[in-house]
Formats: sequence, C-alpha cells, structure tokens
Amino acid sequence: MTTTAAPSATTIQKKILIHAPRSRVWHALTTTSEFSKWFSVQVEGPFVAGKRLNMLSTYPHCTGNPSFYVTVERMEPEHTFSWRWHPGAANKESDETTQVEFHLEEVDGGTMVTVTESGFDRIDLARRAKAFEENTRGWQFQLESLRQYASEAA
Amino acid sequence: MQAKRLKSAAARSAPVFAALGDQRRLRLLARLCSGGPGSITTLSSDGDVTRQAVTKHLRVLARAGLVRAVHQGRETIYRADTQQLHQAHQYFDIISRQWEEALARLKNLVEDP
Repeated sequence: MTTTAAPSATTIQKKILIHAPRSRVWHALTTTSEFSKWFSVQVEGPFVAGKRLNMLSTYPHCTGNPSFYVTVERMEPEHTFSWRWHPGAANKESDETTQVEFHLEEVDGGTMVTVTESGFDRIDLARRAKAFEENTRGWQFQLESLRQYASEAA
Repeated sequence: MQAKRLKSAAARSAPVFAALGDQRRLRLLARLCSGGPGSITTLSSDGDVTRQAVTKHLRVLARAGLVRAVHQGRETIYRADTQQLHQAHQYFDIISRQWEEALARLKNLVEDP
C-alpha cells in the first residue's frame, strides 16, 4: 500500500496492488454482494451510472448517522468506477459531497487499484472523518500482516 | 475528543480546506510558516502579486483560522496559526487510513479464494 503525493491539498489518493486479474477486481468492486463485504455496508440493488443507492454502515460501534446515499457517476467496465457521497452528514439530502473514484490498471503481477477522494473543501471534514471512525482497524491490519506473513513463509 | 471541541472544529474544517484549495493562498501560508510573520507590504514585495490580492487572500486565510492578524501601530502583521491546519490534517489522516483499510479488505477478498 502506498500513499502518493496528492494532486492537491484537498484530495486523498491511495494505491494498492492486487494479485488478481482486472476483471476479478472489477467484479468485487462493482457487484453489490461483494462490495458490501469489503466495504462493510449493507446496500440494495446494482450499481448503475446515475443511480442513487442507500448504504448502511455495518462497522461495529459506528457512531453518528450510519446511513447515507451514494450517487453513482461513472461506470466504465474494468476501468473507472466513481460516485458522490457524504457519509456522516446530518442531512442525508445534503449536496456537500465528495467524489470517490476507483481506477483499475493492469500491471505486472495483477491489478493496480487507485482510489481518489476529492472535494473536501465542500464538506464538514470532522463528520466525514467520524463516519467510519469506530471500526475494526486494528484487526484488519493484523489480518493483512498475517496474510502477508503466510504468503511469504509459504 | 470533547464534544464541544469537535463541534467547533467541525464548523471550521470545511473553510480550512476551501482556503487551502488555492495555490496562491497555499504559497502565502507556506511563506508565513517558513519565513515568520509579515505585513501586507512585505508579503506583496516579491513579485507578481498585488497588495489587493494579498489582502484578499489573507482575509480568506484569517476567516479559516489559518492566519492571525496583529495590529502593530499603523501596520497589521499576519502570522500563521498552525493549530487549525493541524486539526484538519488529523481528520485527513483518519479518512486516509479508512481508505487504506478498505483497500486492504478488497485485496483480501479478491486474493483469498
């Protein structure tokens, strides 16, 4: 996992190399049954460009308002998936959104996934930060390092 | 974090990022951080930025709590106030970490059969 230099002061960008074909990653990213597992949300219905979906955070001990809308913007198969959202917002109809964009790229050894969230100048940053604050972070990091250890040891 | 402190920080964090979303203001703030306090005259002395533009940008930075104005005689001296910046940075770190975790979970799901 790497953190690249953000294109601007109001953007977060993260990259991760996944050892799997791009089609497999795209499926996990855009199929709601799989998405709900790794993103820790309950979500109804398929992702369709222009469609608004309601998500319910399934993080344990989630504080604040755990339900929010996600409006899908772009779905370019195996390439780009983007949405607008405002998790943690008190007003679910708020137009103070950030944009989230996933970009997939075929590289040696698998697929490079880049996620970019932008537009933090338009939102209440504290609420956005708190929306997923109480989570299973420690466990996830431990599981990830255990997985890496196991694959290196094998 | 105290609820009251969180609430006031929340009210200020959006203007902080709006204020930072401009290269000239970022440069101005960087100069105040590295070069110490300055007046409008010293801040507009080096080059292509007019006094009016500097005044305008300082006002935006001051509203966001990123700089403080101190009156010294007939002059106003501006200095960087990094507390706001630090607070906003902490929120940014939290969100950043959340994305790292989400991507790690995506990786686990996809790679583990």
